Amino acid sequence: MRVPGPLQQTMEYLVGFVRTLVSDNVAHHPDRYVPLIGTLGVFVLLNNLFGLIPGLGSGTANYNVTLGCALVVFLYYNFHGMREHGVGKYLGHFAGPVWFLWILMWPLEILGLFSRILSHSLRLFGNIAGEHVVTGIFFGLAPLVVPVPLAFMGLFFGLIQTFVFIMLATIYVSGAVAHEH
Amino acid sequence: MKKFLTTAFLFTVAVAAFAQVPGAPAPGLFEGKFLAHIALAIAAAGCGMAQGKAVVAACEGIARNPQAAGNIRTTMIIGLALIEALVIYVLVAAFAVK
Repeated sequence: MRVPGPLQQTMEYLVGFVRTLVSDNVAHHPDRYVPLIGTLGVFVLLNNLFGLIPGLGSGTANYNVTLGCALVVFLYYNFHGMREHGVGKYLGHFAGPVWFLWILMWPLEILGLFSRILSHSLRLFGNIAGEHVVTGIFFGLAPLVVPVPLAFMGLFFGLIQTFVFIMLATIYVSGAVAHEH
Repeated sequence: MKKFLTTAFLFTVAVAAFAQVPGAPAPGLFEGKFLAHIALAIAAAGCGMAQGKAVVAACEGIARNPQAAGNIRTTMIIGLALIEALVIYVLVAAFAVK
């Protein structure tokens, strides 16, 4: 019997983690959405953790990177929503449950839909960039021991923010493809 | 408390006033970086109180029903991230101030 090596074990754990995350939130065909969510998770996680290596910086401390990721998620869940429900029905479900309120609800929901790009990308960017600024300031004040706990905090925040990013992507996808019962 | 807050505010203002480089054209006190820092402090205070309430509720829930710890923790982390995002907006705005 072949014993799986450490690399395979790690990868199986990661894939299992993302599959559990997606299948807990998306009711129908969750495996369809695992590849993109997992890829985003690995990309964001590595980009967050690169900042902890001296001499390297976080990719996600640049707003263009997080904006790109958020735009990919935005296009992805709108595409899947339209594929699942059809274009007209998908755009129509923003009008809300009561038909005569559509003139109020539809513009608000569309505005909320587009502001998701901003909130999704700014959250990640602000957390990582702010973390770097704080670590830099403490490094300027006391360069010897003080930045070490902050670096550990950066490790923790990098993991948490990655989880939050892919969790929100999953929630957006599940909201777009959900069937009302 | 009010006395303490007033003293702290006066100290902050004094530090900002002393930090002016002599000779440079002095900008107004309530503009630019200083205002961004005050805004960030207010946002952080509100975020601290809100996140404290969220964590208190989550801890009570876990203490009452430890089997639900996983679900409560996930929901709490999502909620904390959404609360934190408001401070992050102020932080980004503070970055944007020249």
